[in-house]
Parts: sequence; C-alpha cells; structure tokens
Amino acid sequence: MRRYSSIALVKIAIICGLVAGLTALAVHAVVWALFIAGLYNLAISGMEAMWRLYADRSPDAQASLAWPKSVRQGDEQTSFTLIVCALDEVEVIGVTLDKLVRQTHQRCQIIVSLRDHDTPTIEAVQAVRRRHPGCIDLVVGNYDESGKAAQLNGALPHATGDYVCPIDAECDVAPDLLRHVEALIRQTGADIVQGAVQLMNLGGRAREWFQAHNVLEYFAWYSSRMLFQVDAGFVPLGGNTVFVRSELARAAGGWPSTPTEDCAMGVLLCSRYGARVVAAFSPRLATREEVPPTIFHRKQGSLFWQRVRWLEGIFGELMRGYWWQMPTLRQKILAGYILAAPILQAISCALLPLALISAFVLKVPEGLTLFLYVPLIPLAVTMVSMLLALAQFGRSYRQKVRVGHFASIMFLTPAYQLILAAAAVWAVYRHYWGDGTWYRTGRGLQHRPAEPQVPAQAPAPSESPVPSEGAVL
Amino acid sequence: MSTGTWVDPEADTVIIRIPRQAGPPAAREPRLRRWWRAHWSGFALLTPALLFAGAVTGWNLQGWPGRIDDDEGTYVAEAWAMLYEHHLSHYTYWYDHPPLGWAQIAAFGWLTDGFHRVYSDVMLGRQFMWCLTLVACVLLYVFCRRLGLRRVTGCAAVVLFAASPLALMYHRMVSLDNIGTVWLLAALAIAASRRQSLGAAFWSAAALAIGILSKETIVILAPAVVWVLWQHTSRRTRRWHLGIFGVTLALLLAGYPLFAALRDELMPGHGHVSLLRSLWWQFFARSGSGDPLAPGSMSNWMVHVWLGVDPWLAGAGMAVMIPALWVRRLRPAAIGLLIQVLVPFKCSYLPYFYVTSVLPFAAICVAGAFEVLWLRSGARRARRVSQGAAVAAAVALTAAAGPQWWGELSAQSRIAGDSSSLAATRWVEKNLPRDATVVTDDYIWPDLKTHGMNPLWEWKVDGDPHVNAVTLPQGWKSVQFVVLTPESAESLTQMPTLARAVSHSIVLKDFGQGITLREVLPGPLTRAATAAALNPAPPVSPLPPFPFRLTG
Repeated sequence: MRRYSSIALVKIAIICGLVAGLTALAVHAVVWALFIAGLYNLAISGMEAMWRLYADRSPDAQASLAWPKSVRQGDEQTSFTLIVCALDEVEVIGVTLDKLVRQTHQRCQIIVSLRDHDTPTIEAVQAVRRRHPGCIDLVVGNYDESGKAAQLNGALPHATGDYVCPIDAECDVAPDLLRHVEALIRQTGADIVQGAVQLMNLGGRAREWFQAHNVLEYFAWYSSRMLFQVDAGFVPLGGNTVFVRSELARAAGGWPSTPTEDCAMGVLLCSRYGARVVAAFSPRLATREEVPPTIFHRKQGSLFWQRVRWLEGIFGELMRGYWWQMPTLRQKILAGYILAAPILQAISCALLPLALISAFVLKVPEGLTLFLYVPLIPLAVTMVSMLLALAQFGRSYRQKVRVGHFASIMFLTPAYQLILAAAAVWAVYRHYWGDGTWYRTGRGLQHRPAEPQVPAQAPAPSESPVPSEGAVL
Repeated sequence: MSTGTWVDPEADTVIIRIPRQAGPPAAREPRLRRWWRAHWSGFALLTPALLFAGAVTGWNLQGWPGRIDDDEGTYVAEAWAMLYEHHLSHYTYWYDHPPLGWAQIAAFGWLTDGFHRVYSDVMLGRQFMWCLTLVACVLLYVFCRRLGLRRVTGCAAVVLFAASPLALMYHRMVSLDNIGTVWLLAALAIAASRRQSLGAAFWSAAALAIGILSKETIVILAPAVVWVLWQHTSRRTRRWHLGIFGVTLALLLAGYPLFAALRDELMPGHGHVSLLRSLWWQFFARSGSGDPLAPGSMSNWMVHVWLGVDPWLAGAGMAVMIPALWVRRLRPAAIGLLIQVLVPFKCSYLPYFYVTSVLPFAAICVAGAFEVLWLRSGARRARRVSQGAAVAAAVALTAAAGPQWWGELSAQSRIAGDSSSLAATRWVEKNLPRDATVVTDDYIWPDLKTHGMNPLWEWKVDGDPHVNAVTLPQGWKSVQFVVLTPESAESLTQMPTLARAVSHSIVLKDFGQGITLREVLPGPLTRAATAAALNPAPPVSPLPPFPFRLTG
C-alpha cells in the first residue's frame, strides 16, 4: 500500500507540475498545450506502429519467434501439467478435453479444476473421464474467492509436471504443441514459455463488425508485440498457452488473486523473480479461441465487459508497482509503458481529434497545425499493417476474408478504438469505485463449427463467489 | 542474438539458434572497431575522391559560372526572407515551388551566420551547394556499394560525378535541383539497405518526400526508388515495405496542399494566390520548350548546350543506358536515366537546371559498364577480350575527355564572372540614398536588403499587384534607379512598366560585363536618352556567357 500511494503521489505531482507550468505560460498556453498534445500523440501512435511491425522489421526478426523442431516422440524428458479451469462450461468442456487427450507428448498430465457447486460441468467431465480412463485428473473445490486464480491454485499442489499451463475451457490446442514447447525449453532453458493464442472468427454479419478488429489485435499481439516484450524482458502473460516452471509458480505463491491473474503472475515473475521468458509464434501451433459474439451484451458474451475486466487487472498491476522492481531504468520505463499503454492510448484517442479541431478553430501557427497532423502518419502505417495482416491471417489460418472485413478495418477502426478507450476509462473507474463483481464472458460458440477445426474464445474469469479448498477426484 | 538464418515460421523448422538471454555474452570486439575493419578500405578510396570533388567544385566558387541565372539569387533571397522576415518568400509566395528547398538554405544560413559572414549572399548559397556536392558524393558511393558495385567502381562514379564540366557548372549554382538530388540519392541509398528493414522503407519515403518538397520535379524519379526497394526486398515481405513506403510518402506530400489549405490558398479565388492555380499554370498554361529533336526549339537548344559543355559523360551515359537495363545491379540507375531522357519528349517546359539530376545516374551507368566488362564471367579468352575492351575504352575516354575537362577547369578558374555585379552592388550601397527605389535582379536584391536599402526585384515591377499598389503608386515614375543586366535587358519585353522606366533613364555608371546603373528621370527624355532609346544596344546573345568554345 505504501508503494501504491507513493507512486500515485508521484503521478499526481507530475500532473500538477505540468498544469502549473502550462498556466505559467499563460500567453502561449494554447500553443504549448497543443504542441505537447502533438508530441504525446506522436509518441503513442509511433509506439503502436512500431509494436505492430516489430517482428517484420527485418527478416532476422521473424526468425526470433519461430518454434524449433519438436522433440521426437519417446525422447521427452520434461513433463507438463495442463490445468483446465472451468465454471459452467457444459457446452464446451467435453470437446476441449477430448482434444486435449490427443496431445502427442508422452508425459502430460491433465487436471480439470472445478467448483463443487458446478454439478453440470462436473458431470460432463466425469463423462469424458469414463471415455478416457486414467488420462484426466479432476480437482473439485470449495473456494472462498471468485475467479480463475483460486481454481488454478487449488490444482497446483496436485500438479506433477515440471511445467504447468492453464488452458481455457473452450480452447483448441494443437496436438503436438507440447513437444515443440519442450524443444524450445531445451534450447533456451526458459522459465516461462508463452505460446500464441489466436481468435478465429472474423464475423459475417454487420453487427459483428468488431470481430475482425479483435482477431487482428490478437494476431499482432502474438506475432509481433510479444517479441518486443520478450526483448524488453517484461512480459505480461496471456492466460492461455503459457507454460510456467512449477517450482517457480509455487515459490511465487501461485497465481495472484486479481481479475487478471495471468498478467499479475507474469509481472511478478519477471520483475521480482527475474524469470526468463521466451515466446514463439506459428499459425499451426496457435491455440484457437473465439471473439465474444457481441459488444455489450453480458449474457451472450461481451467484448466491452471482457475488456473492462482485463484493463482493470492491468491497471491494478500498474498501480501495484511490481514493475518498478525491474533491474535497469530502461526496463522499468518499458515495463511501465507496456502496462500503461491501454490508458495512454485512451487518452490519445481523445487528444488527437481534440488537438486537430482546436488547431483549426483557434487559428494557431501553420507549422504547429502541420505538426499536429504528423501523428496521422504512424496511424496510417498502422492501418496499412492491419490490412496486410488481415490478408496474411486469411492465408495462414485458411480463413475466408471478405471485402467487408477489409472495409471494417479501414473505416471502423476509430469506432473500435473508442470502445477500447471507453473500456479503459470504465476500468479505472471500477478500480477505484467499483464493487469488484466479476462478469463471466458468455459463449457464442462461433469458433466451433461441426468440424474439429475451430477457433476459440478469449479466456474469461468466471463470476460467483464460492470459497474453500478442493478435492481431487 | 539470432545468427540470421531466415526462417518461415509456417514451415516450423529452424537450422541454427542461439539461445535467447543465455547468460552473459562473451566479450566481443567493440562495435566501432568491427565497423572500421569492414569499411576502412572504402574510406581509403573515397577520401581522395572527396578531396578531389571538394577541390574542383570549390575552385573559384563565386567567380564561375558568373551571374547567369537569376533563380540563384531568388532562392537565396527567399531564404533570407524566411530567416529575417519570417515569410515564406521575399515577395508574395505563389506556390511556384514547395518552400522546403530554400528553407534548407535558410537553415544553413542560420547555422553558419551566413548572411553576415559573406558580403554577397549568393556566395552563401554557393557554399551550401558545395557542402551538398560532398554529401551527394558520399551518398552516391554508398548507393553504388549497396547496388553491389565494387569500391573502385563507386569511387570512379564519384569522380565522374564531380569532375564533369556539367557538374562543375551546375553543382555550384544555387538551385533547388541540387538539394532535391541529394535527398533523392539519400532515398535510393536507404532503399537499397542491406538489412531490408521496414525502417528503411519508412526513411526512404521520408527522404524522397523531402526531396520532392524541395524540388517538385524529383517526383518523376520516384519509380526508380520504388524499383530499388523492390529489388532489395524478399518476395514475402515486399508488400509490407511498399505499403509503408507508399503511405508515408503520400501523407508527407499531402502536407503541402494541407499547408496551402490552412492558409486558405488551396483553391483558386479572387485576390489571393492558389496552389491549384499554380499547378495548373505549370502543367497546362506555361509555354512548352518544344521537341528536343526539333531544331530551333528551346529544348533542342538546351540539349545542344548540355552536350556541348560535356559530350563525354552525358554521351557515354546515354550510350550505355539501354544495355545497362539488362544488368541487374545497374538497372535502377538505367531506369532513372531513361525516365529523364524520355520526359523532355513530352514537350512541356524544360527547366534550365534539369540536367542536374541526370549526372549521378549517368556516372553510375558509365562506371558500372566498365565494371561489367571487367568482371565478365565466362571463358577465359572472352574474359580477356572484354577486359581489354574495358581498358581500351577507359584509356580512350580519358585521353579524349581528360585534356578538355582540365582545360575548361583551368580556364574557368581565372574568370571573375561576378565582379561587375558585385561592383554595382557596392557602388549602389555606398552612393545611393537608403530609401531610394532601386530595381535590381535577385543576385543584388538580398545584398542590398541585408545592408538596409530598398531594392525592388525587377520581376515584381509588373508581376505583383501588391507591389504596384504599395511601392509603385505612380507606376514607372516611382522607380528611381535600375541596375540593368544583360539578362534583364533581354526580358524587358515581358516587363512593360520596367521597359518604360528604362526608356526614360540615363546611364549613371557602367560596371562592365553589360551591367549598368541607370537613373530614371520622370521628365521628358533627354537627347542622350532619346538617342539611346532610338538606337538600342545590340541585343545580347540569348546564350549564357560560356567562357569556352562550344564543341560540335
């Protein structure tokens, strides 16, 4: 708490200093304010463009993210535990587990961690266990805290593998993923391996316009931005397909109990424990998930509320301040920037049009107005990269990309950014004044047609307040 | 980190990997030392070439060529106005050229305190051009190396680029083409980057945009830059590079019409200048220079002049241009040369400084042709024959061009082409009242302005309604003095008000080289003035005063 309040005080002091400085320049306050707004927008949009293109910046950079050749079957030396947390996932858990047992790695333990009141899901899992005897362990618990972290920590004592990996209830994992992960571990000796997750459904109807944006977000995140974070040594982990060394997870006390336990664990392990993180990306080995079916409808599955939850967790991590424990100043700043990026982008989303309109209305010098337009260049570069990435996504994942998807990216990006900015603002509000209620992302099952080739949905902490320890079955 | 073996992630295989973050790195040679070991031989070859280029370009920098094109003074005057009056131009800016070119001259003047350091402001511009020539030589060498040419070839291209009589003439003169060509060479060198990074595409587009915003005609060479980018990217990432290049270039160039729009000067309208109107005038209304092959046309005359000044580099460049298209590493230069050879056939206006951006491409093609002959693979006998041919051609060209080039260099070193103009400037500054309205060309305008006098640029006597209203309320009678140069004299038919002022004037002083100071007397013509008006001096030759014999 002390660190929390001192960081908050520092921030407030900086803001007051800026305001005072600007007021002192009363004669040219407007010009200075616009100039600083322009610099800010340029920095934010420039970083965004750089992140999106980081892995394409040279042919060498692509090689850094490639998976190595998998270990031979029979030659496995590392063991893995896949922990599947679920709450009220009757529709999807069966198919997910049926696919998981097909993992080709010989030393793989699968634990399903459930809550004791979730009888339908328990029964569904028991049915799968009868179909595949001896393959799946079940931990049923009565936990005090809500959220995924409690279930993960409930399963952790029963994990026998060298590495643990949370898997979401509705994901599709590539069958030979673990053999590639072991190869990467042998090569690098990493403590944490972050695999790729990819949302698959681009949406076909007009009201699903946002799905293409969400898909591209994940595509850019795992194929490019992850490399930037690995090179910076600070990786807020994704909650899915991330392999953590078991003894490290236990030494850190398991997953922190926050809305985004994955991000919190990543921050904690990178900063305090100096964990070595590697990431790899390949379309074939990416775990497939689903975009939420609607923007605002909670029951059916909402992008907005999912994002509010994530951003609340990330903002909480920013305020908690573990990132300040990174060893060098450059890493501290990068870590803080990585965590603060959603909030900073939300501010930029408001500042950019405001600055442009003010420049016209207030008749400031032409040089300043031209400077205010310069951030549009990295934004345009980002737009071009998104369009090219959409085409590349279609080729890599063999999904049909229509003209409507390109049009959505070209013309509706400001609307999507507005939704994300609003979610960031709401997340900050909830962090300080919210009631802590968690909302489970509904399932639309849009990623799973009849065929097994299916995308998956974003991981969602579940709602419901039930406590207590678990029982292994 | 990575050993650089490129891998297609979708193929899921990798050959060599160095573990990331695998403990403290072994002690490595300092980066600077490694870079020096790789590049010292290039420095060893390039340094004498640069010294040579600097020497021949700077020898008699102010004196030759003399004051033969008023545009030199115009650009320096506009730079002065940017720096000291904070205006885009010394008179109303009418979007004839984007202002970034003379903005760079202004920046140079600000950095070196040029307008107070030298007496004649045009000398400041020529000093800037000298610096730009050296930068262009370095960029040309880097571009040649990145194309895959050898160090010797790169240095040969630099020597040809700097020593050609065309270069000696045009590289010194203050022109926006020199500035644009430097940025074009930068864009080409960056686009040919060996690292094939996306940053190269972005910075190449930025450099090309600055070049186009310095001299708009550089835009015709954008295809050469795109070709270089195409050649130096792999098929897999090419669309990323071209996408970033295109978007960056388009948005940076859009800054120019945006700038005009902010000043409410984009669309044509009554009472103000307009970008679109100027563009329309440049493309459609301006009288063309005619067909380069049609005798008697302006275009044909200029080509004759250029080939007359230096038949060797220009001629050899055009001779190897088509064969060079078949050689991969010379193809970008050949394309650049081909574009510039074909454009004049559109019969639109051909600027006097057009040949400036031809020189680097011609130098690369000629030097590259020798390398291709020398390095020709194949049977030993064929190789010997082609090497022999290369040596023979080099010797023949050197024997033919060398003495001529040297002769011209030493002849021009003794010419003080600006002496009369400078003398006139000094006399006017010392002897005429400060507030007297003196009509001059733009060579003299910035010098008089810097010394607090009241000069008026001759082209604004008739061309600017604002000047007419404010400075010349009584028309030609408001003009008190005129410094008449041969160039001004032959343009008098396009300046009727000035022509009337001159016809009512008497010669106060003759400074030689055809430059006279005239006092305008608003009363009836004196007898001497009548005689002078009725028996005008023989028309000055339309050709610039080249101090050497035209060959051919």
